[in-house]
Amino acid sequence: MILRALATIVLLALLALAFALPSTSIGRRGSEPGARRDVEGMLDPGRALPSFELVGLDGRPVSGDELRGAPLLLVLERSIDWCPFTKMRLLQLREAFADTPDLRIVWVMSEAQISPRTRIFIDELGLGARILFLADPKSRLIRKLGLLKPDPEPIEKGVPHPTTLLLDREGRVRFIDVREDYHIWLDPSTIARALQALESEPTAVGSPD
Amino acid sequence: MLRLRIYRVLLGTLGIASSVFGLALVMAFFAYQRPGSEPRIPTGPVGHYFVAFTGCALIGWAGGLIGAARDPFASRTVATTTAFVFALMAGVRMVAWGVGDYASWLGDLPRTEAILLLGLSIALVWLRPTVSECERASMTSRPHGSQSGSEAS
Repeated sequence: MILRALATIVLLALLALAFALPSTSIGRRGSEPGARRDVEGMLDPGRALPSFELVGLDGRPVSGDELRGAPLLLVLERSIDWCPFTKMRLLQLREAFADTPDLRIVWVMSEAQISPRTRIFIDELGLGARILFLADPKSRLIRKLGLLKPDPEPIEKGVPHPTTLLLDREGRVRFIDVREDYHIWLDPSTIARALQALESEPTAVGSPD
Repeated sequence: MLRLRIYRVLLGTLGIASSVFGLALVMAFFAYQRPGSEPRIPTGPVGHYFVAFTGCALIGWAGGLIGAARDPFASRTVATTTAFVFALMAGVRMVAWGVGDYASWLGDLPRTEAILLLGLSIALVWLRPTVSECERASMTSRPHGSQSGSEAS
């Protein structure tokens, strides 16, 4: 009888946890429509990004100049090895812009966050067909833009604050979203609206909502 | 006794469901081996190997559940083990719910499954026969004169 009561207590505790999951910090996740600017870095609407060089997952160097010529969605994110929120965001973004071939999507991670699991995630879900994944050696670009996460956990080596930039064909920043809280990310519909504005008024300079 | 009847129905239903699911997994493995086949389960050859392994284990587990449904006093360990495994499966689902790879594919389903499995687990813990019921049943089923030892507590 005591064992039965103990088992019931443990099971009820687990059941309570299952019900409470959405209100825990793990459960707090999802997208929100408004753009944020939690961290003031080197980013300003209308300015071009400083020159930079990144590296493809195949080791090929890619310069910032090579990425010009089409609207560019430049996303600097944490890790698709261990961060569930980043993975969810990436998949949501791919789905949202599957039918927008004119928009080039570049996903940048710190070189320290590229692992075999990262490559498996990209390959198994065929993400490379739509998104260009680039590594930032020693987080140089992340540091240059003032986006490096301060006081990182050991696993977070070199990660930026999640950042979304929309650049026009000339490489000028037209839309910025930088956030400290990685649980809640920018809704793709906001990016789609910014892209629409960029295509309808190619010379106007946008700013966060 | 209503409690026992519900227990037997529950074990029988779980046994049949496990055997059908197990069989489907084993069939998925064989179907995958056909040339040019499209995988029914989104995984590769190594994944299908483990899918078949899981299917075989489920069929074996189903046998135990159906046996316990037919003779609930023969072994209450089947219900205890099933309750434990359901709790374990619920734990796995709660972790999967928090991981983007699964959450983006399954949404809130893992958490709903976890709640259902924990409910079943509690039901099994409370519906299974008590030790004294099992001992009484074993004494009455033994041939006359061979009864020994312990009185039901």
